[in-house]
Amino acid sequence: MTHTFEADGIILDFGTRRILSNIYFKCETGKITGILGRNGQGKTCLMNVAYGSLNAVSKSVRFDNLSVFEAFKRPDLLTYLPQFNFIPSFLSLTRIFTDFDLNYDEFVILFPEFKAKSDFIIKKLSGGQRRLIEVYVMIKSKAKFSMLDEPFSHLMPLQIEKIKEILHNEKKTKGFLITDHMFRQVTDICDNLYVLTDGKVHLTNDITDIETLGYARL
Amino acid sequence: MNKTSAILQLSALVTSGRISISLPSPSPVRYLPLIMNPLKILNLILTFYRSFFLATSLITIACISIFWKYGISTFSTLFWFKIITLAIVYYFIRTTKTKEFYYYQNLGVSKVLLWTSTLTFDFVIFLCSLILTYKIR
Repeated sequence: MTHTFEADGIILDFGTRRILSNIYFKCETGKITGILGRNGQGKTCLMNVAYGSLNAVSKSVRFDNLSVFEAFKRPDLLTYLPQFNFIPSFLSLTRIFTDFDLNYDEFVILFPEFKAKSDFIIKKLSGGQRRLIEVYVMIKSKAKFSMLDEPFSHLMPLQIEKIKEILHNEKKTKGFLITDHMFRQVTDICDNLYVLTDGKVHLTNDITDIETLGYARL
Repeated sequence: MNKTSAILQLSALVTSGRISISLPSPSPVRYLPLIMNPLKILNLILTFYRSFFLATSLITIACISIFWKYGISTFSTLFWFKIITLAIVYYFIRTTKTKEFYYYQNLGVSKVLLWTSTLTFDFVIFLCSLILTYKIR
């Protein structure tokens, strides 16, 4: 079944500075939606507003056309990978996978280097390994949609390729909203791509639009 | 450009997402409440409590020791001391562990539930300990 996750009418101010206005994005089951934007344009703020953890002047966030003001209270609808480490450092990998109802053995098949590490606490892992665990559990979380803020940062190229494969498989039953400065990885997997600039989102028609909109040189 | 073609072009732009039309926000419609495993919620709350359990327990033990030694006259002071230390713990954890709240939120446990349950539990333990000490003493 196809679900939709939409947001529009978002206006966000920090003091007298307007960060976001005229925002519209749509995410659907079976699609990966990318958001690119220069630093400080408000990509993370946009995700936080959609998630409900940041108050905006106005917003409309809808799942299947039903308004949800505080999506963070509905992990069955939306999960959110922030750009920083968020898993409590004293939790073991087994505990994390149990909390998210995930199978650790399936993870080990994809990433054999974790075979003997199920009892490790996450603090003992390297920064990249820790990020990989966080990205994996969010992608595989039992939600209809997941927002991923910089999922490819800190990962090595081989891991990025595997994460892209997992995303490709998972999008059959989920929708993803992704932002990352590794724009070639993002454009590689995205079905829809928005560029956020001057507080507004622009839906791109082709890859050259991201240069036109001043995000990157191709 | 006639009216029909203008409408068609506009609807194509809206459908493609290139422009958005801001409609008045509809009244919030609630989904059915999410039913979560109570044991899982309890486990997550205990995990969160673990992050400041040692500090608050030491404070409770110190209060009991003082209460044991000096009696009921210290109750009021100890009561407010405990309240103030809990407020300090709340401020400290809220500042230092702010990133970890995303873990609990992604699993369906809100900040409000985490704080109310753990602080209430800790304060009830403190009161029960004082009452028990008073009876034994």
